[in-house]
Amino acid sequence: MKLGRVIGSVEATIKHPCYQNTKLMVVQPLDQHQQPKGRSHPAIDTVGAGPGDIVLVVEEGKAAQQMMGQKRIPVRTLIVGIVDAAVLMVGERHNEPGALATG
Amino acid sequence: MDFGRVVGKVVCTIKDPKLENLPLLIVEGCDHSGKAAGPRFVAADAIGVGQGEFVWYETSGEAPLAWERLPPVDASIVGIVDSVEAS
Repeated sequence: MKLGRVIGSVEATIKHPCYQNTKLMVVQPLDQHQQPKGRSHPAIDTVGAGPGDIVLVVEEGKAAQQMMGQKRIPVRTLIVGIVDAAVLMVGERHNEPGALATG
Repeated sequence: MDFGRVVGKVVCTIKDPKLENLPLLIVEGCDHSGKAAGPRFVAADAIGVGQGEFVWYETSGEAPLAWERLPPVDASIVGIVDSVEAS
């Protein structure tokens, strides 16, 4: 799973039937310092995330099929959680908390 | 799942029977603004897209699931982007 920030939404009329009645958001992947890393991509939202939210993104087909309650669908990228806080332990003894991301 | 733009097509005469009648398009990876930011590759078209269209595609083991017959593909175009509302 990866962390990303929701930066927008996608409108689409023509799409594979399995994408009907889904909400497609634009996610910018983030690195451990909450900085943008890599290019933005679409993801199906299953938790009601909005622009600006830091979210948990899963990229795995079986997880997508379970979340959407359908088998054999061409989907593998889903938003499955809204991140309240993520803390990165730093330092030699791993006991100095450093901010990873907060929502 | 990623954004891409259709920049060409591929014609194959000799191919796996499951690839018959399956449009094969050359896609360039993009970010949400349509700016080219990725490699070019071949993707199968599951919805009927045209040249230059802004699309999204799915890759890996889920790509064949866009069809009943499960063709041997690793990237499938599954939607046409009408618009992106970005903040």
